[in-house]
Amino acid sequence: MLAYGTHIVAGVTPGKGGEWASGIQVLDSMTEAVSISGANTSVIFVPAAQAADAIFESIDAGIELIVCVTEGIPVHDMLRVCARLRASNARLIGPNCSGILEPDRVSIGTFPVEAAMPGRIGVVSRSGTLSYEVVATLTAAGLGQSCVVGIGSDPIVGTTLTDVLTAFESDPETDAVVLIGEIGSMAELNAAEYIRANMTKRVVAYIAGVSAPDGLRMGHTGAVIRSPEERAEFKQAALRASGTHIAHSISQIPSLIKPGT
Amino acid sequence: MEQSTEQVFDLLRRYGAAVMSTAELHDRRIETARDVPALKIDLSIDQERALTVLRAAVAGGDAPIVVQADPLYGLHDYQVTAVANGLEIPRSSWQPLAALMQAVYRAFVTADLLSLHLEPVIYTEAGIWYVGGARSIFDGAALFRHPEVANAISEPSIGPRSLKALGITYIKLGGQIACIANGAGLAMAAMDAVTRLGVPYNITPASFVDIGGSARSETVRTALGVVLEDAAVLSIILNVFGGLTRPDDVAQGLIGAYSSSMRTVPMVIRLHGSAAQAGSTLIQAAGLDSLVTFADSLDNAASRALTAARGG
Repeated sequence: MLAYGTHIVAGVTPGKGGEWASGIQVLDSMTEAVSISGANTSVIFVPAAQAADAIFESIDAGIELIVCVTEGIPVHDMLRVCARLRASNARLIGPNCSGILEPDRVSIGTFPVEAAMPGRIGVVSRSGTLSYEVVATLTAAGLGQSCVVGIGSDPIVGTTLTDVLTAFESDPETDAVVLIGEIGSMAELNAAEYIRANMTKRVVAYIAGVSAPDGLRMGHTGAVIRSPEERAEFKQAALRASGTHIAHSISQIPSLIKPGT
Repeated sequence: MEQSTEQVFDLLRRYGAAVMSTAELHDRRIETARDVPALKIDLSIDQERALTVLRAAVAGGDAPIVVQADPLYGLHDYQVTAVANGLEIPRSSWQPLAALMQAVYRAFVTADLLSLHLEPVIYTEAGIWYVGGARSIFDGAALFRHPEVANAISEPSIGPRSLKALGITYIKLGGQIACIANGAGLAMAAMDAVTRLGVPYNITPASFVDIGGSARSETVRTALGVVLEDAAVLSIILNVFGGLTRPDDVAQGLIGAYSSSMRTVPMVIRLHGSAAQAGSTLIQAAGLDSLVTFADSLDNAASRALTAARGG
């Protein structure tokens, strides 16, 4: 993140205040970090047992954008976090996500930046590694990205596909959007409803897990089919009905996002 | 993780709920109230709205009364009153029902349950609500703060536990091509590509293997070892794109796995950019380049793996 030019003003590790890491000062608390540096964004890598606490600390310190990379936060912790978020102005991306990348500007999270290049395609994904694959495919086709957002694939996330689509729809730097979904949850169905009613920009969707059997948790905590609506084909059908272009393989995405590529 | 009735009963007792199996109620000749129907109560989580949902209905009926509890404030007594009123049960049973539901809600939250189903819930002539049957699903992510659940888990065999300890998810699917990736989404995408392109040849994925975002050589070696033990596997896709895994870890892992296995199964690897170069150099140096090829896209990897599986 630092090497990419992200303006990192402080690190926070309780008990390590006063130390330095990669030329950045380490502090004991978020409140201290915000008051010294004026930081407005935090990125959380702490273990799952302490992650909810770290999110609460960020919200209470007045951070506006919180990216939580941590995997495996208990669901009841996330319920409390989301209730607190509803009563604040903070936005949480994640948890269990790859974060946000604006090519050549800023990287917050774990995105492999060499796969990306600046441009006018917005990418939103539940899966981190799939977004890497899609972004590399776009880059290879000469299609740069305005912003890449990994929202995470946990059952409960702070920012939904629909939230990010809404942001891309109003973003003057984004011309078209790639949505990367997967089996499990109603997130893509809600996104389809939003696209049908509000989206004027072109959307191409790739949904992973067409071949996944029902009832098996496919690695991600949220990637499990418990009802027919959670199957990939059902999501594809709903998205297609909303005017979204469906890619059946990642290689098809560039020509669907920009016909003639 | 599903929990046994006994586990759920113990939990509910700790939170002050009256619990007794229907058989025991019968044996003890405890009279159920004639004018109050047995109920079923479900607690679950609404993922989209991030709230706890409580549904209650007359047992055997299908018109549940639904209330939502905000995690910051919990279940309000007025919500339980609304449930009791909606179910049209006698007023005399409302107060004890509120006490039971509060106990159940506290148990649900504190014990980190993802769902809890109680049926039947019976009212007795003595004015007590008893939970007569229960099942629940525990959130495995919260195991770190529930030693009582961790202790109750029966010892798994060596294999799956060592996989879990290394952060590997392995799901056997019964086909011929193993799909390994450093992320669940990518492993699923590989499965989908194999399934789509494999139709003409009747070839399907053998397994879904997620080695996690920060796999080291030990993880790669162990995952490959398990895959190679599956005699049905004819070729392997290994997709390590982005993430924190270094190409030399991948190379060392697969060199280790091949040297300790009797089987020589062809493999197609996806590594990105400079990593692909470094990985290919290492694999060549180990003399494995006849077995291992590199692909520049997922579709390309899937079609090469299909060719290899068909003996090409």
